[in-house]
Amino acid sequence: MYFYRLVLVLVSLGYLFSPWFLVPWGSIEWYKPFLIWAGLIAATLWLEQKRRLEQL
Amino acid sequence: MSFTLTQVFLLGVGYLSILFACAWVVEKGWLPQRLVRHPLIYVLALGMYASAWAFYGSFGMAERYGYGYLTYYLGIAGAFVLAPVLLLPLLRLTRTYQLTSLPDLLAFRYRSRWVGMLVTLGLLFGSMPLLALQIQAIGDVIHLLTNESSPYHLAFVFCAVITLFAILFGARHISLRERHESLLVAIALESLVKLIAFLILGGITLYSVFGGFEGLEKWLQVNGDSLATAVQPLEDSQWRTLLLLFFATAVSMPHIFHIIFTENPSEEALMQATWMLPLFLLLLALPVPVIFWAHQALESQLPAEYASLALGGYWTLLSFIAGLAAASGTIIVMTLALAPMLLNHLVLAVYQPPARFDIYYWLVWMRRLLIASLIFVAYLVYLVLSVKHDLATLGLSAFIGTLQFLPGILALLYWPSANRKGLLAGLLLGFGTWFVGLGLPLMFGVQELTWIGGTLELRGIDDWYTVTLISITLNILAFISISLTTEPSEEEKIGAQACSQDSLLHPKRLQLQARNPADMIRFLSIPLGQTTAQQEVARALAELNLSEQDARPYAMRRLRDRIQANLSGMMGPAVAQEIIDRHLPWKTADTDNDNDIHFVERHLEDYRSRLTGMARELDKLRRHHRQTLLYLPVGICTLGRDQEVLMWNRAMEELTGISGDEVIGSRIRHLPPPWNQALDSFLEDDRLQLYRQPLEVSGQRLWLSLHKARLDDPAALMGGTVLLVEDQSDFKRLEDELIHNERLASIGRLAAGVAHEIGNPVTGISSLAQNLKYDAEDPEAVRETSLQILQLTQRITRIVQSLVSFSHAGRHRDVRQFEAVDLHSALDEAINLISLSPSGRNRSYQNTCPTDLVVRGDTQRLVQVFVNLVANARDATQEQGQIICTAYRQDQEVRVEIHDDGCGIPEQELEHLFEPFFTTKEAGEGTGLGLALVYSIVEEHAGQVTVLSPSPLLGLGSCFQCRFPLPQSSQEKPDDHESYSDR
Repeated sequence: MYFYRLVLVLVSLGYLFSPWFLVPWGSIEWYKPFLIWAGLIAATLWLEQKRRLEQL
Repeated sequence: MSFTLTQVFLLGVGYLSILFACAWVVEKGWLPQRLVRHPLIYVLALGMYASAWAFYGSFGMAERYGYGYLTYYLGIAGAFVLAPVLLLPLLRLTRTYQLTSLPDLLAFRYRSRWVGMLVTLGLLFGSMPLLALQIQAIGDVIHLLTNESSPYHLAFVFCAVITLFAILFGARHISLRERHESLLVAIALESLVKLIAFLILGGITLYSVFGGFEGLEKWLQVNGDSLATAVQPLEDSQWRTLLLLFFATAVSMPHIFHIIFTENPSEEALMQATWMLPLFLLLLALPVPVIFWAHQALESQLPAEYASLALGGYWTLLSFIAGLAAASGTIIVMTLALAPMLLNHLVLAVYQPPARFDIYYWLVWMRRLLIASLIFVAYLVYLVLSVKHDLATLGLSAFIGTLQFLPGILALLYWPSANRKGLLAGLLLGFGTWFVGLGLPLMFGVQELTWIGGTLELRGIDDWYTVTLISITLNILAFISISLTTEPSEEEKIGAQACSQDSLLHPKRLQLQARNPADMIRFLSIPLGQTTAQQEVARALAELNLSEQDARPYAMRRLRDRIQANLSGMMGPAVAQEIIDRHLPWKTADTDNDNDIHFVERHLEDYRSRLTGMARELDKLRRHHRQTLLYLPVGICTLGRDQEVLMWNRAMEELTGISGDEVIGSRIRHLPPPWNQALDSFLEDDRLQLYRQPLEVSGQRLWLSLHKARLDDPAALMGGTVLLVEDQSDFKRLEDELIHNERLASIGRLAAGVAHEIGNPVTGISSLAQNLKYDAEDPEAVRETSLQILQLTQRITRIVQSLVSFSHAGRHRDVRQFEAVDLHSALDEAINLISLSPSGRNRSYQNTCPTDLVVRGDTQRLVQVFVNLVANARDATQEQGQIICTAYRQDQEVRVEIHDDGCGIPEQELEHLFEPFFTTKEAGEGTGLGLALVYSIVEEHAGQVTVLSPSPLLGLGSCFQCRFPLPQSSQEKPDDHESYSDR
């Protein structure tokens, strides 16, 4: 459950601050938002693994 | 490059045939279950979220808002990341209560048929633009590929094929909760097809149009500024609003809800989806800018929404297949989800099939009819709207409509005070605003509304942000304010408890009017018909692993709940509840009923993995205490106030031979004999303890000590009684042996005195016999001598009889066979026996017990008590010491006291006197069992023994006092052998 709270905080922060991570449309760094997104997926995967280990 | 209609038709039908084949293979069981139930299949099926909107509409969004198209993917990805606190609780609820759709869930929580109807209508109207969007996408692509001016006929053919597929593979089961594995695998295949197709298209575009990443970078360096100025980037607040909009789709769009909750194979699969689905969506979103910019770079004349067709050639067919996969999956699942809603909340609300119908057959065919009707209506909507609006407009308006359900869903989990009045008001206001702001301009082309006070300009989708903000704000405000100012009904409170994450449902342990499963079939036959009622009861019994003969109140309650849940899976919660409430009613309770502790425990067990911190520690403590009680080597049985058995621990199972599973939930009087009578009579008894009660069980006599305590703490979850049953049979046998041995030891100690006592009269008889030959001539002397001999032999007889009587172990009598014991005689007997021993002489014995004083008991054992006490008094006194035996009646008791003027007992030894093997005598002189046996025997007679030192009568020495209950009739005389049981 502590992990869930952490996830809740991360998602809330992501919701509030996600517009800041965007680059202008057509920028050569167009892939940046996707990289951040991939980072969040990796964090979620890591938390999910921790949860499974905790439940064992 | 243009294709013919036939080519496109064959390609489309060919693709759909592959889908049919895939579903058929699964249906036949040719794919291993391990694969079919793999979490990846579930995640790919969830990828159905990426509908035609994702495949085509995303480009339209990118053209308008640039990166704004990402909100579609990020919003739902956020919902899945939050699955543990949002989706998982909802999944558990839908499983527990067999809820298959959002209207089911909300109608269950807010206990209102109106809520179910309104939500169904809202979803129907909200989903129609999205359904029409899918058909429009197919139609438009066909038009672009074939240059046919009227692609409607081909779109209609595809709709017909999709309808057939949905009916064949999606409406097979009677229960809506049963998973459609074949459908799920087919939808997963569709997701895989569109993902692969999209990635291929993205890759091909990147290298064929831009020559790779470097080429793209160079192109962006040149055209970046113009691209940036061509779009209207979303403001931060608009971005967040869109995120929220798409976040809500996870629970508010019927097709997503259906796959997440109804087709879910396991909680683990959902948890896997928390990262797998966002990854899937990331891969889908990644090619969008590349393909869109290629469309710009190629200066394609195609609408931006169909940028994926810009490459031309056979690649357009790949785009068509991917689009068809996206659209068909959405249409199939959405109609499968909408049809049962319409059936449960609209059709069954106004018409229920008569009992003579085969209800299963009727339900399945109604569902199929509704699926076909929905697709047909969506096709009509497509015909009406397609020429006016693009995909993005249709999709956005649908998502804004279904956003209105989000407050009600969140409150369902986290706000128990919310009520249906608030929800209905909020939904009406929210949908009203949505309809005025978007519905009227989009559907009817209304540009302005004239009010009394002025004119309201309607700009349709251009006002999406304002409409969203106003509708959801009004919705939330009305919901909260009305919920806070009005009281929820009792039923709503129960619904809130069942759904809330922070509270626990406390159902009452009521009794049903139906006494057994056969009664339930009889009662349910009225609404369902005989056959359906039998099948439903048999199904519920099998699921609960209960027997048809099981008539325990607890089993009946569980059975009722299960039948209701199963009916809810078929007909929706509102209809199911109505049938169950009307036809399986509770008995009217005479008294307040307790909480159903079994339900609470089951719920806590289910909830266990979610407990944290203090709650988790408390739960561990609860389990520890429960285990302690379960494995305690003393029989424990706890009962509710209505005498329903709530706990039956292992020791009780071993003692009685009755398993807890059989007995928990039944009334104590329904236990197998003789336990029902024994425990029931003890419960009726005023006494809190009964010691050493005999009970014949299967021809074997058990000796049981029973204890009970009332659980009346008002702060506790419930009241009732706790019973402790100790099996003392082994102890009793051991004690009987000890008593016998002690008796023999006493006889041994008395033997020398007895020999002496017998020796004296024998010597006298011998002397008299010798003198007799000299007195033979004198008849008077002979007569006198013979009388003396007779007296001496009588004395010997008395001594021998006393000894025989004392040494006789006798049959142990239980309390029902107690007789009236003359205390004076018993004390005399004890004194006679003790005075036989050498050490017992030279003492002064007085028996001042009234001759009419009696107690109920076992004479032999009471004499044993007095012998032990008088023997101790003798041992404690010096020669010429005084021993007084007395008895009197006081406070409804008979008190027998043995006083002596001996050495007395030190205070520190008083509390140990009655412990076995405790002795103050020299080694070899005492066993230490005498007083322990006295204590035990007096206790058997429902009495008590105490010791006072010094004796209050003599001022020194000690006094042993035995207190016995006064016989019921104080007029009873000795030798009155009437037993209690004979009365």
